[in-house]
Amino acid sequence: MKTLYLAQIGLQFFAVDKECVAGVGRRNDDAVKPVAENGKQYLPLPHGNRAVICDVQALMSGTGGASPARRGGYYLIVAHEDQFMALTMSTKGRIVMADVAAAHPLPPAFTGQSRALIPGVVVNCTDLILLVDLKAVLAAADGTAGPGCGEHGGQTSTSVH
Amino acid sequence: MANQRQQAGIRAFLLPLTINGSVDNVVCLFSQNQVVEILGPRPVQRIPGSPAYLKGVLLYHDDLLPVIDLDDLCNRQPAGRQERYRQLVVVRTGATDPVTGEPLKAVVTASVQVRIAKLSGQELTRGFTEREAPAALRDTGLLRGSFQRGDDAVVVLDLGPVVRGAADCPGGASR
Repeated sequence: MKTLYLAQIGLQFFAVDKECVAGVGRRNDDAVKPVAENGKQYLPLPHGNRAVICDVQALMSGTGGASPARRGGYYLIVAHEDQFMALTMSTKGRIVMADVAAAHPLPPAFTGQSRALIPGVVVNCTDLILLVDLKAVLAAADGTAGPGCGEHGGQTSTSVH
Repeated sequence: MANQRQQAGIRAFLLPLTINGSVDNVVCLFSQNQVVEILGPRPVQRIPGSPAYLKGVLLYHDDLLPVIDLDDLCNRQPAGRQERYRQLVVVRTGATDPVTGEPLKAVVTASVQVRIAKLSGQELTRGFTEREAPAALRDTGLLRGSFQRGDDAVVVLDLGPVVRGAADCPGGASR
């Protein structure tokens, strides 16, 4: 069994390793404004860090990175190596325990990027929980999350808690 | 026994397709042996980063099956229409999992109701005449046969390469 953070994005469930979760923040919080740079959206974090914003629903529909105009919801801020990423969530999410060893792999029809993004699917009754590979999501979020992500970006405000 | 069955006829499932540039009524034929079950509409779990013709996965008897939109599979420019399906057809593809050797099933989406035709042995031999396939399907590597039956252009597709992940399909652009 493993402790995961379960995020609801649209009508779907995604899970990331709880160890990678740096915090949760409210979207469209007036105190923290996303910053646009080189066509990417970044969320300022404490200590001058920033997270590249990844709109997972946009990623699902193939329209690319962040869509800051969409209101409401939360950011799930995850850390991978020295980078931060803010995944958009519909609800605040919660911590769950799951037997990831029993996860189903995707059917062989799914190859390449989809298989890299989703290494497994946990079945919970009739719900499917997609296990997310953060490294692959970081790469997919902007083509290259790039050196700007996770470095000191000079932003100080935050709502991460 | 086989002769008796041929005289009694077989059931075929005809799924209307929307093929770009084709003026014919194109239908995809599945035999009764291929069709496992026809399901009503239900949520399909989408998978990020997958080709446009793969609409996601569906949990079916503890198996995760790929959900395939044949219109998007066959057309070079996926229609991008609303993904509301009237029926979901669970089919045997005849292919096996390259890793486990298990037979691979798939779910095919139907935006209109699948037609069921009872074909007699006589109709099978005389009612179908071979014809040139719609242009969009010729180079897909998925075509098993193309026939004319009345007003319908009937195509038989091989979904094996798709479910094995070996397809080089026109509608294969990643989402």
